[in-house]
Amino acid sequence: MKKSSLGWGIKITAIVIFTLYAISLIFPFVWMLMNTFKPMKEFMTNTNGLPHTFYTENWRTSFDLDVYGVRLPQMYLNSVIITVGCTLCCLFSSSATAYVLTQYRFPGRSVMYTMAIVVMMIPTIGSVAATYTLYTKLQLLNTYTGIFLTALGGFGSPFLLLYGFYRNLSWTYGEAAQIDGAGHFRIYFSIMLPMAVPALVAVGILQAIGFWNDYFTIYMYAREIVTVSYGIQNLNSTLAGNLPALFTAIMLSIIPILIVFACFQKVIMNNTSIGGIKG
Amino acid sequence: MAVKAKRSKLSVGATVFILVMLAVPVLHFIVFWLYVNFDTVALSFERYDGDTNNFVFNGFGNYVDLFREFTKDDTLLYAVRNSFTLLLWNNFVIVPISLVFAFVMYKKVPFSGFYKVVFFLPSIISVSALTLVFMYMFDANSGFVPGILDSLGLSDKIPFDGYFADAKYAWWMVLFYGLWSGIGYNIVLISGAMTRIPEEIVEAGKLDGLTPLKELWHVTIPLIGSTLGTLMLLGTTVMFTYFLQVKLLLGGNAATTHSYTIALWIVDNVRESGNINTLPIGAAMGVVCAVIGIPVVFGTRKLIDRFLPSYEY
Repeated sequence: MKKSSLGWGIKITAIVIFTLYAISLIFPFVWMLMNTFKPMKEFMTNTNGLPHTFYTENWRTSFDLDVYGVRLPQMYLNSVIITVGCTLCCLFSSSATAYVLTQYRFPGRSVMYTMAIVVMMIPTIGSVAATYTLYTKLQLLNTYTGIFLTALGGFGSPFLLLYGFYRNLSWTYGEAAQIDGAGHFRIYFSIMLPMAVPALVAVGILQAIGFWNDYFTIYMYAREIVTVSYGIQNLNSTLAGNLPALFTAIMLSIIPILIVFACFQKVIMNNTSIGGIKG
Repeated sequence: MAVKAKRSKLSVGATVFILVMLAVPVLHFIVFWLYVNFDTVALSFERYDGDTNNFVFNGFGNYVDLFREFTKDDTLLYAVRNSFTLLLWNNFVIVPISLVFAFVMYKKVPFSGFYKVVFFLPSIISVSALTLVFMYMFDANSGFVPGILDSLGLSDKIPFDGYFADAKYAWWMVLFYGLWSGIGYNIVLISGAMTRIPEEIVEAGKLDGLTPLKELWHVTIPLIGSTLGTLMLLGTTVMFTYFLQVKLLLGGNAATTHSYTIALWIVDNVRESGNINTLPIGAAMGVVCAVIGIPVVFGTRKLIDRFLPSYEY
């Protein structure tokens, strides 16, 4: 396991640079968190120091913050509904395409796989215009259905991750079930899917983080369904006079993600290293 | 794979199963990719008619208008320049720095695992929250960075309107945000590829007396070529797709600070203006992007395949 190793000089320089960068990432959050325990008046005079008193009013009143009349608890509920719904839609579609494309030989199979990869590379930002008119026509603006529909695609990066998984899944179990008279649906739903649960969970976590954080879809198609991620941007303009309250809302929006990350850090980072989240 | 080949003759049951399973994803692709992209092209040749509440044929009108937009003021010229700097910044600053960081970690610098987790944090936090954190860190009134500069006697380096509203700084802040928030994600991808390099190859290099720098250049980079290639390809497409960070960091100051990107201009015309009349010109710009973007992206792919071929090992 010996490797050509770096000299001490380089190692120390690296640690110094790494530490400085790590501080630049962590300190802003600590600074923000610290300031949530100050009233605005104190924040103006004591921006960088520790709070004089342990002031919890910002946290206690945070649930009354609202955007377009939607209060923070409702924003959380919207975020949860969208995250769960979109993740399920996305897994449903991606798993179906990945399973069929790896386990069955049929005409058009390789074309579909190639398309999936090529299509991801084409810059189609202009299509937001047509999608927006489509949503207007179909009256899908500001509906959960409209948002869930955006997640039903089966050929994105979750597809590629699951493709990698199903490709290595042996068909022998399916074959045994087939001999016992199980149909194709039965094999998929009662034998293959249960075996795929770990992979689905891993991909699901990555996708769920993406959906929780999503700002763009709400901004484009469903501003009335205010989610936490969309809401804090609006609070930024309404709470300019009470920054500690804004900081509290920002902290509240990040905490759920930090908890998920703390629990599934290995799964998240390993799967990112294989397939990437943002693809 | 021999087992699978047996099923090359599809039974009726299998055919039904395949069709049902693929129905939703394929339909989704047809509507949300094929239809909307074709309709974008159609929309770019139409204009909104207020009398009939409909889009009517407008010939090349939007393209002529788009050309006028380019000559009217310098907003779009800056947008093109900015979008291009994003490509350079991603492929020649962010990716190389990430590569060096990942390589140093791969060489077993103490606490690498901890640093990797911390560096990854920005990738899991929403852009919407992270941009706010970044902005308040530099906020001229209350941020701690200007505070630090002030105490160092560098108060002349703090622009009066703040960093995000000053034409001299705004675009650099966008680039800096990209670097600050983007390294960790790249490191995780690059480190993953590095750990997959077979030990024997590294060992052989060591026996040949390779220094770390030579190892990086002659062994590591070629062997993680496909990962680096993917990152650089993503770094190329941002030229046409990067807007959210700019929109959230600069908001209404994007125009006055010459900090538009092409994609931001499109999105503004589609949604921010709140005006249905500007949808078609947004679509026209989208078409122009695709016409330029497709050859650029596939050309880059070709270049990457040539200089960073992926090896099987």
